[in-house]
Amino acid sequence: MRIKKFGWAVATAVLFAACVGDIGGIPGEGAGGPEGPTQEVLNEIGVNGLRRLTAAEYDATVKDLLGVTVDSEAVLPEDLRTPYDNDYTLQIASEALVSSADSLAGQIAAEVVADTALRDPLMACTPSGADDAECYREFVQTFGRRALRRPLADEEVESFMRFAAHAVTANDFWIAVDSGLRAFLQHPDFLYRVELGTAVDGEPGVFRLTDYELATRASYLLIGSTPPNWLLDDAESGALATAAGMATVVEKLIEDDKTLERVARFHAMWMSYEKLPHAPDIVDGMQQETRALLKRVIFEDQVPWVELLRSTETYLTPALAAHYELPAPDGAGSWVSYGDSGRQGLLSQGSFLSAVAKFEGTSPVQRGLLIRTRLFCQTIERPPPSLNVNTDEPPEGPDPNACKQQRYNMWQTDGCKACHAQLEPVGFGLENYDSAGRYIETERDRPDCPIDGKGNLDGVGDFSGPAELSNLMIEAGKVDECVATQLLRFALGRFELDAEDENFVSRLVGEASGENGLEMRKLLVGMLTSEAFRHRREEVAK
Amino acid sequence: MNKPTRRAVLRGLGGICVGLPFLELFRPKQAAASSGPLRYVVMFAGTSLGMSGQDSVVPSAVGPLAGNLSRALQPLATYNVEDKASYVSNMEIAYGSDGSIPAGGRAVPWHASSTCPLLCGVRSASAGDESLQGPTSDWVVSNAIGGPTLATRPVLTYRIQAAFYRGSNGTGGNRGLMSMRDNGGNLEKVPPQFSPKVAFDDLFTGFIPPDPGEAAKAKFLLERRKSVIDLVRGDADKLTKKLGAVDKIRMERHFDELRVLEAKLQAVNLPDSPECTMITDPGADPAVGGAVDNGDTGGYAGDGAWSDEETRANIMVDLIHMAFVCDLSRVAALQFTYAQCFLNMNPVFGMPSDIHELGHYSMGGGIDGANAMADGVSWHVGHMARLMDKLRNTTDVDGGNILDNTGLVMLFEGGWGYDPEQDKQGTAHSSQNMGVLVGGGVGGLNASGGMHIDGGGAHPVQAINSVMGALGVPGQLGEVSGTIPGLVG
Repeated sequence: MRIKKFGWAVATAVLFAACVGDIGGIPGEGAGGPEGPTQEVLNEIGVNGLRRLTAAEYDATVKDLLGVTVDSEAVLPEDLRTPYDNDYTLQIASEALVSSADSLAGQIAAEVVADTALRDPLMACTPSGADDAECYREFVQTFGRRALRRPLADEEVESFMRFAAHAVTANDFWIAVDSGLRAFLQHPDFLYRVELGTAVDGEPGVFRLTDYELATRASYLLIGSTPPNWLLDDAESGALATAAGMATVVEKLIEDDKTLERVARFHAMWMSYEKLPHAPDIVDGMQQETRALLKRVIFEDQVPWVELLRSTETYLTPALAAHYELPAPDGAGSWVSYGDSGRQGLLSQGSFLSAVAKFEGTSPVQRGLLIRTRLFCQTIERPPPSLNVNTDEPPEGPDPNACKQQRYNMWQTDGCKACHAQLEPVGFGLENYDSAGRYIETERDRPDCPIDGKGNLDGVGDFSGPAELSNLMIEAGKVDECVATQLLRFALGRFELDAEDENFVSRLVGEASGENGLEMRKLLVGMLTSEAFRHRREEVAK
Repeated sequence: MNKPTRRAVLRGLGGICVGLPFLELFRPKQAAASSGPLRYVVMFAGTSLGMSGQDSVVPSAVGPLAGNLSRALQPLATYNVEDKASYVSNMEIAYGSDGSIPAGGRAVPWHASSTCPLLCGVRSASAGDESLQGPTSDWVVSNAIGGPTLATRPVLTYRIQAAFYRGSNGTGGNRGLMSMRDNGGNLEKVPPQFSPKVAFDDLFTGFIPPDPGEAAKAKFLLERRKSVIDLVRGDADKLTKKLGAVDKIRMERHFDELRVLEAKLQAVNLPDSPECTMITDPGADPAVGGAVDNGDTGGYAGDGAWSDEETRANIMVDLIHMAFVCDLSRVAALQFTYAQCFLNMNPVFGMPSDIHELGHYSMGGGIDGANAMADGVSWHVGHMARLMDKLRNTTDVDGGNILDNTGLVMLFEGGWGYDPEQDKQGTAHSSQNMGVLVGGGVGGLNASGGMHIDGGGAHPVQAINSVMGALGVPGQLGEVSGTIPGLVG
């Protein structure tokens, strides 16, 4: 099975390479090489700026490097969501960032040095004493390569060797390790993903990434963490220099369970269910439910992404089954058929249905907006200021005591309906599912307000419930391109996409789509093995 | 045996790389009535003050506050500081639609539209743009009175509310930020520090304990940290030179902040005051609580949307107090709560609701609702009063108390009254009937004792202007001119 997958990935990579005129390898080394990227590739190379590790990436990186668990989100300045947490255009260096990084570095270093189980794996040598400078040099070189995601230059190693004197002063070798760890964990090449690359001849502002930078890009996209040692070894050996070699790397990264976690987190931010405001057992159940579906569709069955919307069964824990009033699973959790419940796929899962809750429950407007902007990638303008709308109070309609369907009447109101006609009719069709994913027949605390649950997807058709909506969305045929757009936003750390990015998306969708739609695993492989992914375009001040 | 002073301890550490302070007694006087260093605290509370025509915040009569405190202002009496605090009521921020937002005004859509004019005195950019459009008073004042602290801690920028707490609505963005500085012509957001532990570590960087053995350890750690930051700063500088124009700007700011950190490690300027001591290490931060959905009373009753902000506030207040005592900083921007605050009030008052919902009848309407809302306001006032109490009970280098060399301003996100967004009267979504609480005694502030002053429709920033004037800071904040008569002198 593993061999089959590997062969498929390489074949895919060769196919992608062929499509950019690059069979048999990549352009030469150095400044873009004699051939340089083709015009087709140049047309797909997007802007990329200096990206600081998000709190989640910081935590994962520290865990992988040092085995220490940290919760830096409780300390570092917030990562603003657009909806992803890694939009570098919003990241600000600040006193709070620098002092927090300093404090974290001190805490982490102290924890590592105090614990032989944590510190010993960092050493390839056994220090003979406090003044064992050569052993310290080895630590700087080996750990430095992991921490900074590239080998250190000789002068950099020498610079870190200043800390060897600390060990002598304290008569304790580990004091120098403590100092070194503090420095590595605050180093700009650690806190930021630095991509300098090599200038491409004749293309000002376009740079080809080094293999280490490429390894870092791939690693943070797929596993949300620093490149493992084997990946740095591959970068060093030149194994990443070809599309086929890169495909092998991507395949290996995808086999890592962290990729599933990363993909699950991407989906959670994408669809705004990152934070679930429910009881812990229900939150745990919902997270397991969604993760199981993603794993099955994307990584096990490797079927088109839209199968996430088609699934006729779901993975339930006993607590979640009781919460949904669905049949109990086997044991601690198992797949359960939806039967004729009217549920189907991701849109009927509690995680998705919990998103964008408002005004003590569901908001047909917000649910419609979520579908339109996140799954169809449509732009819905904010209400014009001249309308002076209040989005912080529930709509009152003609009668503030009326049932919800009558109060949410903006979709029929002059001046509002141009936008709202795309929103409420979608949201109304999901109203039989409350903001915790439970089926309801009347409004909360309003037994006099039955819910008919009928909706309409403008230009496609009427529906009732998540199953019918999912089928209409697939029929509408716009979802696949949006999936790729969202993934590229996440990969680039930038919400606004340029013409080059759109070219890239367009080609990726075409090449990663089979008869039944876009396959996310193919999309990932195609993106990471493409020539455009190996390059960056320098940001220009606006 | 007499306890040695900190200065004596520092002198006794011969060879330690800590600088002795420039004696403030020799500093040129900056405000007429003060001879010690001057201090300023600007605070923000993400709450309105009333609803439905009900108000339990404004004292019943204009005049002395003593014996005339409203429900929300009672903590001033609890801490016995009502003689050094004035409440200015009946203030207002004008509004306008895009293209016609008046000077110092706000955009029509309510939440977080008042924060820009309130904090920087400049009109909102447009509806939907919640960002600050000018430097905030903390930086304006710091530039004038910061003195030797400018190189290290020009402004302590803290936030007490640990997270936004509103489920899928994101992180709050600009709503969790109250400070903006002008850095060489560029406006720069200044994100707050919301970890008490990091704030503690940062503030007491460089403190040397008096015990010789502990002092040697602390000195060695300080030297090591200096060495670490020297390397990091040097490499950041080298990296900056290799970056493109936009990335260079990003890294230059990081580099600037490293230089500030380096400066903190270079020198410890402590006054000759036995009261300057390191407070007890607060230890690990309280756990950050989870989000609670709107109306989820079970979630609030279960103490979600809460990260023990009570403890966090106490620590932050203690840090600001000691920063002032030790002259580690002279200005603080303290954001208690986010704009449109979803902080749970159940752990404090037994009300399973957040501060925002208190203004929307979650605890009932009429006077019951107004009282619940006032309790939310009083939580903020209580911590301000505690800070004032600590400052009053600390001797300054001029022999007086620190409160008399300090100006404090508490700003509230909203008042109550007309909401142009809904064309509705009597709502908490209004910048009418706003209020400002002004504390301290610097430069003749509250010289007549604490008062309730009718602002007569003045802009809240006029109260800031009054405090700036008392601090000897020339000019006005942003686009708002004028002061509040009766606050000073």
